[in-house]
Amino acid sequence: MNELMAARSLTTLPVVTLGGEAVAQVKDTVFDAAAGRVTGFTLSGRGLLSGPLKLSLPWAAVHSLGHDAVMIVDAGALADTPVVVARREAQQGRVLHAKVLTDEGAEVGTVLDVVVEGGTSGRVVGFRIAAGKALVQGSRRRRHRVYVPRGETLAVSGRALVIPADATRYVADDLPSFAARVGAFHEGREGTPP
Amino acid sequence: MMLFSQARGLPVLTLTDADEIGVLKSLTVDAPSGVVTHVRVRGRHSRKESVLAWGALHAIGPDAVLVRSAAAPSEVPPHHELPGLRILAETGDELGTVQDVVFEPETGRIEAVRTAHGDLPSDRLLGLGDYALVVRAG
Repeated sequence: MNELMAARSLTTLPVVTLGGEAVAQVKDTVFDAAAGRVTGFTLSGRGLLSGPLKLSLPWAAVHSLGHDAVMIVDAGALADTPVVVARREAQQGRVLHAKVLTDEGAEVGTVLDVVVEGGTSGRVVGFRIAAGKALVQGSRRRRHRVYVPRGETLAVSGRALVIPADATRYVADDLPSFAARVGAFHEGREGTPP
Repeated sequence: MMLFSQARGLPVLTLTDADEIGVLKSLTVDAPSGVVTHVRVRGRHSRKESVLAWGALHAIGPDAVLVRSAAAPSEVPPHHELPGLRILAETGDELGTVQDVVFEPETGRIEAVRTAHGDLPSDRLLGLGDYALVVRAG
């Protein structure tokens, strides 16, 4: 499995051509309406004083999403911003801060960030959430931020996401252990749940 | 076999009259084909940098570089200094920085790029730009 990355950490990642030139940096990550995959990135110029760019990067033009850079074949891959932003306005801000409910009706928390898979897939594999008491027991003063896997079926509205109840058994505290849990979650759903 | 770090600083002399025109400053590499295409020479007196095509060189020896002609080439590609440059795999993951480059002084062919994590063979080089040297995932 490819490395997992939190969407917020992608901001300021350089966009680099296979020729070794950095042409822009990531401003925002744009998801599709079902929060199932990345559809592209809005861009800003590189450097402290540069503002947003009129160009954006559709996912189809991404060669690979890595830990240190978004690789593209060449600068010709960049598209006019409206191509990507049209989807952003439908989605941006709707997943963040949305309530997370299980399909059994329990509220488990609110979405803080979206976890995507690196490489070429652009899949959304889960969410970083501020966990409610139902999910993580313990002192209320400790803010619990955990990762939950995204089910194959995920209902998204403006205010809430509904995940399968068994996904809450695969929560993790950090990204490396979450990668293992996501793998176990998908295996568990194919066979018998542990 | 020779390293960029060994070639740097060698005196550059003309073959016909043994006139020292300067010292070798850096080597310009074409990453996709894996060869040195040009060398940069810093003048002995003027300190001005001049560019020589690889074809104008007669020999790169352990102690000096001999050139057939000191004429500037018609077309000079942009120079990207390899030593110290960051290395990115095409997957977007950093692989450290270039420490040195191993090349064949007879042909200018790049053998390998030396990094803290070992040598990268030249057939993995994809592109070389201002930001990074991009290599094929191994």
